[in-house]
Amino acid sequence: MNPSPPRSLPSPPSLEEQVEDYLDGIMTPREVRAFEASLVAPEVARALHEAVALRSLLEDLPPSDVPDGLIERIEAELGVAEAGPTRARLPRLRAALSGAAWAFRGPAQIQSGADDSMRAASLVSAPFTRLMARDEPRPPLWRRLLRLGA
Amino acid sequence: MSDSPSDADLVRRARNGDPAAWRQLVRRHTPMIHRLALRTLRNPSDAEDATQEVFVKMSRYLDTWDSTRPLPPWLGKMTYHVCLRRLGKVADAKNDLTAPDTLDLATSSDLTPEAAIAVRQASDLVTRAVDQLPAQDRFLIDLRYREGQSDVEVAEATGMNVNTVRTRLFRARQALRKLLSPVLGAHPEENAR
Repeated sequence: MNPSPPRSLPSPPSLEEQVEDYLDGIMTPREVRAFEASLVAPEVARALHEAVALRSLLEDLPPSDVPDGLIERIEAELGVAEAGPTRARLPRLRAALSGAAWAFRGPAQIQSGADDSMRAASLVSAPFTRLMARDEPRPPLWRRLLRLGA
Repeated sequence: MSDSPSDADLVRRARNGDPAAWRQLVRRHTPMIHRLALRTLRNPSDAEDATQEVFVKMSRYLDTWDSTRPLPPWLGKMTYHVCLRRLGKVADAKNDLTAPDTLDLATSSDLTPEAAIAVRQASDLVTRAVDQLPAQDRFLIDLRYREGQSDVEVAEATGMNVNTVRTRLFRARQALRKLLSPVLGAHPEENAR
């Protein structure tokens, strides 16, 4: 089987185009064979080498960082920005309210928004809050002690 | 992540007014748009404004995007036009869009092969070299190589004929080869041969 003869040396622009097509992988197998056969010509080999080197340099340029705040400014401009501070505060507020509800009404009323620290805080504060919230007069100390003993 | 929604999904949701989808689109595509704008305009403040302007245009014309096509070339097209319009406003000879034939090679004349090898980061040289190209060519080079778009996509983005794109890229590469000849000559592959 005779390999297809190497293409005659093309003029510089078409040589460059061939090199780019070769690197882009858009040549047919036959064109690839012919091009690779033509690599014996120093000009072709040099063109390929330079193209590879140039591509490598261009593709390896370090990415530039997006400036701080640019994305947020764009989102604000588009009116799609997250309501940052309000939303950030909301879970805490919900947790605080939930903890307070738990303290006054007991665990059955607890809200899912309360975190562990808030629950712990409300657990500690609940008896005092209840005592302070009583309308009826506190029983005498001896009666309370008896109740504890029972 | 494979769970990351496609551009088409995000655009569909954005068209329905989903702010979260918009935010994802902005976060996904801002780096590319900003890179292109910065390279083309060469001014950080202008590049930020241009990036913002592209997204405003995007929000305005989102319904015109054909969801069967990739989104980056469409955004590249908007970026290209926004940058060109901004450059047109700037009466700066350095940003002349129509005089690509001669390049100022003076800054690289001191780059002997030894000096070039001594430079730690070839990327600085490449950046300097690309910066010497006319604005349109800088855009083409960036879109083609850094953003990895095909000649056809670059043509779509710029509204140029594919052959025009190839010709301009060819000239730009020729210019870059001249400017970067010390670096290209010292490429490791050559030493390996």
